[in-house]
Amino acid sequence: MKEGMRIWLHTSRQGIWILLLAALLGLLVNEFRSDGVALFADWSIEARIMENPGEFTLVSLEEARRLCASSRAVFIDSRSPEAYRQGHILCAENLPWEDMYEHMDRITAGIPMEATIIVYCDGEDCMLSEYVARELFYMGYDHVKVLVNGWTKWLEAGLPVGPEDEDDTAITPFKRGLTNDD
Amino acid sequence: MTEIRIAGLGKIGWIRAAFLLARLILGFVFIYASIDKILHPGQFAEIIHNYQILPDLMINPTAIILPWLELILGAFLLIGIWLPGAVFLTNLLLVVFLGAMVFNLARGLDIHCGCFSTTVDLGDAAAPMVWYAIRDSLFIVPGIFLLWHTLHYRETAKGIE
Repeated sequence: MKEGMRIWLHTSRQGIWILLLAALLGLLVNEFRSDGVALFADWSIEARIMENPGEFTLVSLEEARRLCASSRAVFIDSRSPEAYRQGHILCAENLPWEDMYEHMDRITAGIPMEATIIVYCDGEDCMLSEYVARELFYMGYDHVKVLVNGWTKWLEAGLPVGPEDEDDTAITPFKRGLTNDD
Repeated sequence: MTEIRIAGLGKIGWIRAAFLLARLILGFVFIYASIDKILHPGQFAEIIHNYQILPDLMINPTAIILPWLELILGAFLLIGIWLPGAVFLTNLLLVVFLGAMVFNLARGLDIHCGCFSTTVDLGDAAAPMVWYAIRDSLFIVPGIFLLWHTLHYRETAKGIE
């Protein structure tokens, strides 16, 4: 028992020294390399989107509400089909991130490259909308915007939502009533 | 205590060989896994962030230090110094990695593994997280063997101090 204790102490001591050595090496190399990263960074979705200006931007709830009401933007719900079916922003179509490539052609067919596209998911930390927005941007859409925590914000504001039993494959004229005259 | 002498490394050649093989496998795996992450700390930080497990403040320090920890552990396993500490930490990392993958599998978040490469590929080439989890579990086998052998047999531990 005593011997076992001694081995564990010995092991822990070595482990702590190895950790310290790794920390020292990592921090030192990071300090002196040209492509080192900041020790602490802001990982909020707003900060990350602002870091890549020109890719896509954020949209406020008020602007999103106006664009939906006037059908001047395509709304993309990047959550799962199940979540979409349970409720979604009224003018949104479903492009689930998990099967993004499977649905991409169908969803983007007919969306002009100059159209404003608003992507949302749910939760402050949800990154699905960011992934989908980036993909749309690299497809050539220049006016892609992310509504951070979109579903929760939309619900809390009491804005119009889609019916629960709606067929998510249907693309209604309302959803595609694009009059992008901004 | 007699048992210890019987199973001691010097007495049974195949255990010694298995011990060396397990060290070589994990040593090379850890060194290989560290290289791309050391070369691309920014992308590695992005991958850690995608796991959505660590608080934001911990993401960059982890991206800076973890690859060096893997490199040191791999080197120590290969060279054979500080083995008890290195083996313990190696197992700890393997379990933490597996835990992170299983946690994300359980909540349906199938993200890029970032285990050996920091290149994020969301397309068809990205293997499912379940494959990475199975692969990590396989690495745990030599890991546990090393841990058992290093810590259980005091003669082994003494011999490598």
